[in-house]
Amino acid sequence: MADFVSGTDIGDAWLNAFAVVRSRPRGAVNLSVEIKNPLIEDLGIRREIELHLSDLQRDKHVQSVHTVANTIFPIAQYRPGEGAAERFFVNVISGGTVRRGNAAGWGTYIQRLVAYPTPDGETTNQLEQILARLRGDRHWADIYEAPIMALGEGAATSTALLHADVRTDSRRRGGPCLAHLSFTLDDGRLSLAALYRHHTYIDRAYGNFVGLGRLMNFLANEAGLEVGNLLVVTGHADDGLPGAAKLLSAAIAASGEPTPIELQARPLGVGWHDLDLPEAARVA
Amino acid sequence: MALTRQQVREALIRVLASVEGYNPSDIEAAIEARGGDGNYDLDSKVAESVIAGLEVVLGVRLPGPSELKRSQYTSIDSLIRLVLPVLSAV
Repeated sequence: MADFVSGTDIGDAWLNAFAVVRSRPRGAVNLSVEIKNPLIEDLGIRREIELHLSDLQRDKHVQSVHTVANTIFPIAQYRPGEGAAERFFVNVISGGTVRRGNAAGWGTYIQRLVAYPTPDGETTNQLEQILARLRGDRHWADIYEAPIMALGEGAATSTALLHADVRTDSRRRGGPCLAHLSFTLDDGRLSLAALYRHHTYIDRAYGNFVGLGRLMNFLANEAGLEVGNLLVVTGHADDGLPGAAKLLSAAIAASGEPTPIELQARPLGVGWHDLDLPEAARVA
Repeated sequence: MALTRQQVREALIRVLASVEGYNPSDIEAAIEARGGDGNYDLDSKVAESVIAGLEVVLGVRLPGPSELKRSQYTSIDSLIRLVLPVLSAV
């Protein structure tokens, strides 16, 4: 059975979707989540998620919401102004060259967007192409597609083979979980449908929603558009980590702090350490 | 390759200014406002771009973030400390 849930903002949508995920014995299958305003989050819910992750970080590899969001859109690299988009592209691509060894892997989502591997061994900047279209003839509503998976990749990027070729696909876990982005332009508003093959709700979904919202804002802002709605469709959505019932209760109780998400780099020299996971685990 | 700390710092400020889309004097002003090289925080993603730029400018291979603790590359001070021994080994 497929599910559709809707939320006014990132927090509300995450909470409603997480409740559905929890209601299915093996997670939700074909879960669609609409976020009406993807530029607003709920700090109460986010705080509970991060406290929960903090409790788990001694035994599990977990990342903050900020770190997860950065895999889709590294917010500190976007300073709106003259040449901002072009500078963002240059910096993201160059930064990717120093991710080496196991850290390189299949890359990150933003790397797949700005340096997507093409069959001839080169790369193409999908975001640059989409932005050029959005800045140009806006007659078309539906020509803004960005795949994350790449066909025909070699064994060196084995995790990216996932679902790329069903004849060779033997992997069950590992990235990328985000498979495709589809932007739609309607009446001056840019909306996005994101397709995930798998989504873990405790550790990834909230951060992914934030990252996708920031990506939408980047394209809309650089093209002089408004941000529309975000739809996240997931083939299989589950908890991903222990303690889901406890987290759901805590998130429900803490909800109700709608706040705009940060959309650009902070002032020069100001870091983001305040968004790290809390060090001290909470007493259960 | 023998470069002084000051020369490395100047190269770093130029690269950082280019990454951030500012003039080097703006970076210097921000460093002063933050209270010095050790208090100017670099986001890890910005630091990746700066390391990549320094590799080009200095012509050396620097350690990537996966080989480092975050505190080793997320301030002006720490980046200088990262670069100097690499240059002296060339």
